[in-house]
Amino acid sequence: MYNLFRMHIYRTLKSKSTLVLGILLVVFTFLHLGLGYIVFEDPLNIQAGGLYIQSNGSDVSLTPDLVHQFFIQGNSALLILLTIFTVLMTNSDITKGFVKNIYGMFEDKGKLVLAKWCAVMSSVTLVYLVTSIVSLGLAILCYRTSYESGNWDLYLIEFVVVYIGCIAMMTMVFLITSLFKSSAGGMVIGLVIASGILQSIERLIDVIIAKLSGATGKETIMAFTGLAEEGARKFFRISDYCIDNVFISFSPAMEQSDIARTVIVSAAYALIGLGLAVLLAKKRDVKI
Amino acid sequence: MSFILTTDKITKKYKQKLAVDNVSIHVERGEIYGLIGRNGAGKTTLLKMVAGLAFPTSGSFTLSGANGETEAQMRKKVGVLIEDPGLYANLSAFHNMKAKGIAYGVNDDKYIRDLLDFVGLGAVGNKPVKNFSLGMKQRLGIGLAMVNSPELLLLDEPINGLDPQGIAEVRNLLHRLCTERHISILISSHILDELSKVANRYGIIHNGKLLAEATNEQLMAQCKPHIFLRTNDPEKTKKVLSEMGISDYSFDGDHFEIRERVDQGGQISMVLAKSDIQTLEIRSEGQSLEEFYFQLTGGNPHV
Repeated sequence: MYNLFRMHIYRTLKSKSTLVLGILLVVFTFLHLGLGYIVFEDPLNIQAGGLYIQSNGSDVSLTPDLVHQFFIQGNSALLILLTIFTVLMTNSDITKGFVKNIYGMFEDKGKLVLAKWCAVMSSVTLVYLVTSIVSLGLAILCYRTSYESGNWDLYLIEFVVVYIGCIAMMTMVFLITSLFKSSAGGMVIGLVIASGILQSIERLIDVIIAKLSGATGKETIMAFTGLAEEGARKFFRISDYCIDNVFISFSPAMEQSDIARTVIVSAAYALIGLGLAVLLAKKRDVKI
Repeated sequence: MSFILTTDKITKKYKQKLAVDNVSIHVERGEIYGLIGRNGAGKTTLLKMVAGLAFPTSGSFTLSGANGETEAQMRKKVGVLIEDPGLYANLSAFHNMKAKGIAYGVNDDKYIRDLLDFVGLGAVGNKPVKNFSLGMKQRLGIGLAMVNSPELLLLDEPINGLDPQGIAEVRNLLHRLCTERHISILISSHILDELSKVANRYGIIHNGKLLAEATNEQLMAQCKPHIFLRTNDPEKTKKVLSEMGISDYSFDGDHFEIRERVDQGGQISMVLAKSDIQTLEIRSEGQSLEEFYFQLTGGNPHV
């Protein structure tokens, strides 16, 4: 299995599409850096940067957790590139037919999927690590006036939880691509998940549930905006259990129970996604 | 007799269609086994099941190593070229082979370069395989199938679409694999003539069923030309045949099958007449391999 893992990494490193995606990642990181310059120049623009933090209009310190939130969690370009990368890496041996050369080596086809998943997730992890370090470095270099070292505990929470969310989303993309065995299908559905387009639908379902449960006007609005009521939630919200919404809405400043829910939901998606992908391989023939 | 592969009533059903129906084949170690059948006969599906690309609906197959390897170890000693070779088009021949080598724990670059030489692609350098000719791709496909030092090669229509030069190259390569590297080969094709030039043993498959399994010698005997002769006095006929020096014949109580001097039917008939033996029926018999195949499968060679 380890050899198969190595094979996938080798093939990915030799692939032109990896190079192209790498270049795009660098380009988008610098574009995001430019956007950050506009955002952090004026604290009032912080909302536009996707950072849901309390601001009274005065100077806001750009701490490492906010840098991570802005560059990684709130960077849809990064998620889209990771999705494309995951789809290509998952599907290339099937579309090219190379899978025929290796599929017979194990009776248990689940091992083949597991090895591929490990290779894909190792690559995603590497991109995540490098992008996190580079973005922090760039923020320190370029936003000298607003950057302030601190909040490292929040940074750690942000780093770990967003990483788990990222792995969960990419595992779902991995599952969908394995299921459809089509790059186009996997990419479209993967991008829909990664870009958060489904969020509006999930929120609408939340509103319907709230209405059916006799919610007041304010409670209905809260359900739609995804904001928490004071204290415990009054109504069940499906969006709290949807990976895209959980990922996008996460903030290290959340209550501990919300952070725990984010981690559990993400981990559950990753495990279920991987489990289903392995199960699929055990049951299905290779279509070439 | 040592079989490297045996299938036991292996069956594959796709929804309502039986693609392979209770097929039991026996591939001997060191032989080239030709699987003959029309397009859609079930050859590829059978090979896919043996290659582990498809799950049998019922039945099983057994792979036996020369040194008592387990089934799991033997799975890693099967090389596969099914339909077209599965290649990363943007990578070079070396990198394609290296990728498979890594998967099978083969980390020796020299071994891979030697294999490329063996299949005649030693000089292609870093040219991406998308720029290869069909023949080169097929040879690379065979090279890829050999990366894991297989004891059994599964080749599905490896000469499809090749020009005569390409066909000859692949044929020579198969002979060399068998004689120099002692690799057993299960090769499927619908091109009977080509298959007959390489195979030692055949399985004839039609509509998912195995119609016959025979060695080259058995097939040749079946197809060997002979004279069919029926006379009014068999005992006297035997004597005359003996006087003519004809000994390679058989008599089944009704007619003779004479397997020598098969082009001298007229002369035999004349000598019999001179001996007052009445020839009731005489004709040349024997089939080409193709005729035999069509007889089995119920097809018509003259369409």
